[in-house]
This record gives sequence, C-alpha cells and structure tokens, in this order.
Amino acid sequence: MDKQNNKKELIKLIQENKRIVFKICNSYCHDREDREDLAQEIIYQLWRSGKTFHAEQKFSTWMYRVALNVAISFYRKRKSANALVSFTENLIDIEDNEYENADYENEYEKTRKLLQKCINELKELDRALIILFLEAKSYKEIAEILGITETNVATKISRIKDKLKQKILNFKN
Amino acid sequence: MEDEYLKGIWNSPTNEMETFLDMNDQSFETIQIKKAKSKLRLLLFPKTIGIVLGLGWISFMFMLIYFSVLYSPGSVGKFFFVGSISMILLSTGLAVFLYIKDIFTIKQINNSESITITQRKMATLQFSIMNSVRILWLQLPFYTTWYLSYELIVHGSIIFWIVQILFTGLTTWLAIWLFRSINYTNLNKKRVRNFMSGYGFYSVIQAMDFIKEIDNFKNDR
Repeated sequence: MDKQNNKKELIKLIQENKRIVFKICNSYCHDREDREDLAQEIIYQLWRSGKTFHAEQKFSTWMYRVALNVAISFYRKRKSANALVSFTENLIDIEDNEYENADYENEYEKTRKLLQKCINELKELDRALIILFLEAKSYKEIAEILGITETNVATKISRIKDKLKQKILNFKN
Repeated sequence: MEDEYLKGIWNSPTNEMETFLDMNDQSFETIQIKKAKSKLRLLLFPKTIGIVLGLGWISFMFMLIYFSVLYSPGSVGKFFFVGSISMILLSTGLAVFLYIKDIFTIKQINNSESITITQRKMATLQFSIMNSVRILWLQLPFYTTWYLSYELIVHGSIIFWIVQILFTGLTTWLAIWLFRSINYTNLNKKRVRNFMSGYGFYSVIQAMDFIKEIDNFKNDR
C-alpha cells in the first residue's frame, strides 16, 4: 500500500476510534487547549508509530498503547513545567466548581462528571488501568497494554474500583 | 453501585465528543508539519547544542595540550597543566558521549511498546542528564591544579599552600560527594533531594520518583 493510501486508512481508523483519543485526552488534561494539543500529539505519534502496527494485532489495543504512552508523557511534561503550582489542587478546584455548577443537569450527567473528576485524581498509571477497565477491555488485554500480569491487573482494578465507588457515594451523600 | 453502571456512565456520549477530532487530509498534514517541527526543537535541539558546545570545549583543550607540549617540552609545571587539562577533557568527553547516546535512545523510543516499558525508558532518559552532570562535576578539582608551576611548587609561601590544599581538598570532596550521592538509590535522602531541587533538577527527581512508581506498579506494591 502506498503512503497516500496508508494515510487515508489511518485517518479512517482514527475517526472510527476517536472516542478513545477523546477519553484519554479528557483524563490527562484539564483545559481545552491542552486537550487539543494532546490529541494532535497522539495523532502525530500514531502516524509515526504506524510501522509498528501489524495486521494480526487488534487496532484498538495498539492504539491504546500509543495513545496512553503519549498522554502519560505529555501529562508528566506539563506537570514538570507547573512544578511550583500544585496541578492536582488546581484540577480539583476547577472541577469542583464545574460539579457544583451542574445543578441543572440530570443525575446521570452529574455522576459522569464526578466519575471523570475522580479518575483525573488518580496516579498516571492507575488512571490508564481504570480507563481500560471502563472501556471493557479484558484483563488479558489490559495486562498486555500495561506490561503487567493479569493477577496484578485484577488486584489493582478491584482496589481502584472500590476507591472510586466510595468517592462517588461520598460526593452524592 | 455495579460495574456495569460505571461502564455505562463512562461510555455515554457527550456533545464535546461528537465534535472532537473532525479530521480531514488537510488537517492531518497540518498536524504532521507542526508536530514534526516542535519535536525536533524540543528534544534534539538542546542536546545538539550541548554536543556542539562540548566538542568545542574538547577541541580547545586539545589545542592547549598540543601547544603546551610543543612550546615547553620537559618542564615540571607542564605535568600539572597537561594532567589537569587531560582530566577535564576526559570528563567532558564522557559527558558528550552520554549526550550522543541519549539522542540515539530518543530515536529508539517506541510508543507502541507496553506502557510500563516505554514510560520507564522515558523516565530513565530524563534521569540520564544527571549522569552527564555527575561526570562533569568530577572535573571540578582539576580547575584548582592546572596553573601549578615549578616556581609555585618550590617557592610557594605557607599561605599559598594552605589556600591551595584547602581549595583542592574541598572541591575534591564536593566532586566525589556529588558523584556518589546523586543516584537512584540515594534519592530518598532529604539532603540529596534538597540539593537537587535547589539546583533546578526538580524534573530529574520527578523522573526518579516515577521510575519507583512504575516498579511498584509492576510488583503490585
């Protein structure tokens, strides 16, 4: 396949899986500008890493690996740059307001924002793990993407999930 | 609260998602050009500048040694001059070599490898700047010995020798302390952390913390 066709094929695949990119950008960046920048970075890196994708692989698994790796590196770079300002504090403040201002929204929408907020408070690697779990990936696939054992995946998911559920219930009450 | 409920919430569509990343060939080209330029600037430019400056410094040192040997053969003072400059040259050379190695490592980073492997490589790369700095610090004592001549050694006053020994001893101790302290295992020590953050190496501390976090994550701790 020539370069032009490869490009068209990649654009098509990205469009089909753009939800993945959106979810990851939303979980690793809190302002819109950063999200757009990260999305572009992910697309660029997907294009650059294209030769490492093999037909026998599942496209979404490969895409998750690239996108999460790029997102974690991007987040860490931003965190370093903002070392003097507590990034987590900022994030919580802004999103707390967003949550409180969402009175007019229905319960479901509120819980969705709350879930996103709780995920954004997790450590980088835990965040990747829970995103994959919520995306309904199998433990085997999650282990493959993250490079850890399946048992480890199961233990961690159960721990993080309990923490998330507790946080959501606390907020609701 | 059931798992399926959480997954349902997570996967519910939002307005923002619908308009996100509406891409065509042209926007794809724009992203490619923009990102290719920024990558080059961000990663390779500072390293390349470091290598060029390092090589310039090495050439200058070589020139000094060459002219010293050429114009004052057999002098006792030359021993200190050539010896000190050679040690400075050696440590600069090693630091430049590590910088060149970093450029190759940057080019080899593969984002489609598993997350723990790639992230560990990235964090190690961030820490590698510290290895170059550690080696560069080793040349510190030699800046206090290169000027020693036959006249100073034979006719130097007591005060001169007290000051000389004090400075050389202090810089030697500092260079060895820095070389031995700044490493992965010593990062938990408060004085090492304070020293590094005080000198602007906060990102290196973060990188090393992240390496530990990755290792704990892999080992379920």
